[in-house]
Amino acid sequence: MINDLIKQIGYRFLFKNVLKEYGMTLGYVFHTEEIFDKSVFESLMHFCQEYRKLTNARPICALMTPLNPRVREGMRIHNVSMDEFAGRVQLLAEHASIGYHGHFWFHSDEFKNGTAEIRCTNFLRSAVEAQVGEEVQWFKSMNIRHNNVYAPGWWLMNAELLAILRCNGFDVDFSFSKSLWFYNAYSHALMKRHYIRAGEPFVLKTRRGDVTCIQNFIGCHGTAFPQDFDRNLSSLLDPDYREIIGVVNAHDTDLIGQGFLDNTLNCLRYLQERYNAAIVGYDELVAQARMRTAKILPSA
Amino acid sequence: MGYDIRPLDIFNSQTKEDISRFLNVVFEQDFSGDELRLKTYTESKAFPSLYMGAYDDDELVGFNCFISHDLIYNGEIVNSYQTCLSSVHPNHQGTIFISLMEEAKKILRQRGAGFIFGWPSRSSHLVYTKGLKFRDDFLGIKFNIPASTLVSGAFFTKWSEEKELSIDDAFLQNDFQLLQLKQQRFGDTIKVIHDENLVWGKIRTRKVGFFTLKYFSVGGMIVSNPYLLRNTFAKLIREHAITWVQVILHHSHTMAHLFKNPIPSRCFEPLIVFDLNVRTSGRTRFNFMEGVKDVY
Repeated sequence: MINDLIKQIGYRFLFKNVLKEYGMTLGYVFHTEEIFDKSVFESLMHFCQEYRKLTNARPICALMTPLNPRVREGMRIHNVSMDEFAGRVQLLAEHASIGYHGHFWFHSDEFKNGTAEIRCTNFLRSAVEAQVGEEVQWFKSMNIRHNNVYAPGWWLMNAELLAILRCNGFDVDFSFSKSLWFYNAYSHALMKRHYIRAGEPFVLKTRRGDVTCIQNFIGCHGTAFPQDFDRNLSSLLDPDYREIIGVVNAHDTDLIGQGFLDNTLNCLRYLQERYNAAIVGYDELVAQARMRTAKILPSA
Repeated sequence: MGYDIRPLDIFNSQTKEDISRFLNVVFEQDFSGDELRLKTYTESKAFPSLYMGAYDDDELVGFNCFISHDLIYNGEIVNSYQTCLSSVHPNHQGTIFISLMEEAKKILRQRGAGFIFGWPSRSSHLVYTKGLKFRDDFLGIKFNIPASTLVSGAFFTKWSEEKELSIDDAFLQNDFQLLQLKQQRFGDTIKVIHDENLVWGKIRTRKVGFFTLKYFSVGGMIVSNPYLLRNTFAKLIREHAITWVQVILHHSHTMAHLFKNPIPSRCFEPLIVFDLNVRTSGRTRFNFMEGVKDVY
């Protein structure tokens, strides 16, 4: 309550039109982890439909597949069959662009043990390689297009993972971020070394081919104050780089939170009206990023 | 005197009994039942732990354990071994231990092991470094972080965009494997704090004057986001009734710079290393914390 009051007063004077000098092209990525839960799935479907009505664009739903042990466990608890899950993804694909979202494990049976999850500082190539291969196979077998797009958690990205993804056909990535909240040892060092600014797309060369990297700006902006977006994004931006392109992200489970949907749509409307932000779908986002990419960099 | 030096099967009941009897005499600790297995046996991706014994006729008179560790180096497993429970019967001192260790080196080299490492006691340290040519490596560094969210922040480096965190070319302790080993022995005593980062360890006690104080000894950590590390520790402090959090890392640990204000300690045993199939040097980085030790 006090926080809200402070914001209400503060935003009357601060961060007003702070992004007006910037041209913004934005996409929206959902880390789609729990659509085995019917209420999450229905909320996500509803959001995607409303999002399309407002923006004329589709959000990106980066999916954890049913081969991921955490999803498998959720399906078991919610009594959702493999076919039913695939059916939900097919329905989702009518309103969103599907991508791939990875959580990787040392041993799939031990996924509840926190140390079993592979992160940037305990990376094990063989385990990740095996899991990506299996999950990509699932997309193929279900005839679901992943659009060659990968949106991971911030906790895991490195040159090895990029090479594994590229080897499996993924050539668009949404993991890099200038936000310290999404800090990753590898991506942070790489962007620093090559003077990558917030909102600047770039291409990384892996030993298996090129990957277009579109930055993830900040997390979901589901608060009642759209100015939160201005405040958070402006703290990342470089005044010398004004045509920014990137995505914001949320989890499908965030939609269960009270007011998230309305607040998010309100924020997007605000960005469109106040800053003339272009909120675009996957194809447009990637096309724009590739057109603007000036830096082609080694991934390692 | 010729000794029969050979690997031991700790799942064989007779051998288990021999080892237990022997260790109980040498260490004056209870190693009966499954204590040895719980303390030292790891199922590795490569090979399990190795147990070597020296027999004089039918009597076990020398013993050494090598805990199998799947260390991670640049995204690959490097199976390496921690030497521990080095022991010779008081009536059989001499070259028996050197012979036993040399035989173990042969076996481990054939297994493709990276290196042998350990923290021997003061009494056996010279045998390792002089007699067995182990390299004496650095000591650890210790941080005692007060269990108060008001002041604990002073023990963390303020993270900013200019700073970097690297694990390149560092041997990482395998926290997944270690936690399984420690949990099978200590059960719920091992605590895991998990948010953006992960810290695991156990609550220990220390007598200070008339008081017995509880502190949290960190066994290992997986730091994904150094910016939020102090929040992870704040969560640890909130969730446990402790007086301080003790963090001990090997001197070369690539995340040592995340902490501030180390305190000197005279109690550290230095890490010793013997290369088998991997070449290490005084500049090699070992991301080792207390949890990797057999005695933790």
